[in-house]
Amino acid sequence: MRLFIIPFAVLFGVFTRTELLLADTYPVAITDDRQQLVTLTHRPESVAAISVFAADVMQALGSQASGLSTLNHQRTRFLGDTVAHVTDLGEVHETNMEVLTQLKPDLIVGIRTYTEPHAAKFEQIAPFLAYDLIDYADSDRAILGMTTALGKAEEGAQLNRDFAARMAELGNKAPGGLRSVLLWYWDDVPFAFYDHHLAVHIMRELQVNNAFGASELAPSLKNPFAAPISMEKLLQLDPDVILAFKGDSGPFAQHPVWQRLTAVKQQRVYRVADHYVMPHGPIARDMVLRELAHLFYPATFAAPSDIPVAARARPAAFSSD
Amino acid sequence: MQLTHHDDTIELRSVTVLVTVCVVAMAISLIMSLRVGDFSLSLDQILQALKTPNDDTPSFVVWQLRLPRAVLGLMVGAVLGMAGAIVQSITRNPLGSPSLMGVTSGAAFAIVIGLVVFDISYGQRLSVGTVGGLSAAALTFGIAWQTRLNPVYLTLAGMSVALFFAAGISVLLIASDGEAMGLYVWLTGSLGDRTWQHVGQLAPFALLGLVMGVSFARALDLLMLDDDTATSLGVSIHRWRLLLGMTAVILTAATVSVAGPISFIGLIAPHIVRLGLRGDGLRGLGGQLPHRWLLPLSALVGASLIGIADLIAKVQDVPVGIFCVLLGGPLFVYLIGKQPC
Repeated sequence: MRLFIIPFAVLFGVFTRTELLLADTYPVAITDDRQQLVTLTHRPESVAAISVFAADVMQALGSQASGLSTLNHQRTRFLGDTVAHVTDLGEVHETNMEVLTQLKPDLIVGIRTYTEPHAAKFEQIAPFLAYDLIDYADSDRAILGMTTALGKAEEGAQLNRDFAARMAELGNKAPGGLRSVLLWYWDDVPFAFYDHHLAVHIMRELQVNNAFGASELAPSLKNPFAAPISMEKLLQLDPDVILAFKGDSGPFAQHPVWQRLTAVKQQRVYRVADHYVMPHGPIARDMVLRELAHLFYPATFAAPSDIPVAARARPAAFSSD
Repeated sequence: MQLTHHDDTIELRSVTVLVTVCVVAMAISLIMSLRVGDFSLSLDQILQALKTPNDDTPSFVVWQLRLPRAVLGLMVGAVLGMAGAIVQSITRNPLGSPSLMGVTSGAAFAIVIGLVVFDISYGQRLSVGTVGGLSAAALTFGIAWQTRLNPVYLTLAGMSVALFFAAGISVLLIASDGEAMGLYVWLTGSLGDRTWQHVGQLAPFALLGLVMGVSFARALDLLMLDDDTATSLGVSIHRWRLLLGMTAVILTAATVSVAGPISFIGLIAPHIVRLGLRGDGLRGLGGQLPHRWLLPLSALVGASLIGIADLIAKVQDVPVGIFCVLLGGPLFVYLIGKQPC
């Protein structure tokens, strides 16, 4: 009986899949986070990623963006070597329009705040989708919007369902009882992320309290998603685990407060890669979720092995001078 | 004899009043800044920590976090006050100050280039800032030279140069993207999270300013006279202007390297001293306030101003540079209004 059912199910699946593909008819209209209705007349073959998000979505769908922006003049590392030879579109906030024009993409996808001043130019080149990409809802909405534009709405919805399920699963297994902060710092000015940023949202789903909390000034607004934090405040919060994006050298790392922090004493300060501050794509957020689970609870969760070495969190070093 | 005695009395009284006000302001700002912070510390805890430093948290917070910031603030104010007085004297321009001569912006621009493009170390900031400050000063003086350094033209030239460098900083901020948030805080002038390391870095320059002030007070008095008179009295005008101008630039660059660009203190402090001692017997060559008084008192007033401004900034959780602009802006408008066109 089982031998009969399995081929039948496979045939049914293939048929259903074909139906879905046939159902992806164009034109397709998507409303992006500018509340702008963007119409695509045909399925995009070439996608320009004006942030790592779109490249992430393409890779999650088994494809590849044709162009990708850089952050701080560096190509993102969490997508591995697969994006190494993709056309460089310049910095995420300052797209090289000549290269973009030459690329002739069918679709351009970017972060709204970075792309807003140049939106008209983007639209002259190709249909353009702009997303906020700050909180969890932004991530789900943008994935669904972009996959719809690519004629793969169901895959997008599935990616969202899978992530929600995995986050719930890991959250249920998480022992809890920890406090943490996610810092981004440059030189001697550290910033801490608020509760609503997606990386911190994931942290909280893992039963870890964000010691910096929510924005008190404008809790209903998505921006700002981070604010400066004084070293005295950090000492007062004294989190169990500290995640820091960017350098662990320079005067900031030599500040005397570091040596008094529990996280430093217990060697639980980690330098994280750029996908922690831009974790909104399906691959990035999944990596952040699984890596955070391990960093917070190494006895409960094994270290994910599929994250490229260059993108993995590593213990931060602090001078005792 | 009676007149001299009368002048000495007034002199002593007005100086005493000014010094007392400044010392009280500094003491209040120092004590309050030790109390204000994220940790709630009682006065007893603070006094105990000051008397018997140890390894506990209150002692650490007082000695390693709050005291260095307060001390650095006073030093920055003193150095800027003195630099402002020197600039006003060598240019004979009541509107002169390191920020209005473009020096502050030039130093900041150079440091931002160094940070964004060349990733300079913390220790290199001072030398880079000095080069930027000197370049800006040279540019300002070069532009205003054809008007024989007319005070208003010199100020306009300085403001143009400051705007030029501010535009350059904006370009760099745009280019630096993710780095920009940190740069914005530094560029408003901030004493947040400063340590004894910063105090140690600025201390030699504060000392340099003090020594220069005492040593060259007489030369500065003579530079306030017209060029012919000063030359006839044996003063090498250009050499002294260059030496003292470079001193002012180095002092300013030192403050920029530890605290970012803080505007208007250099402008205001000498004026407050002159206003405070107006109408008394403290008049030297050319009817000007002697620099043996002006320089140390400008330092004292500058320190008091930054002390109070940083206390407010700390309570409001914003960079101190913002309050310095709020204090200095209106006074600058007032001083501009008093200048002959």
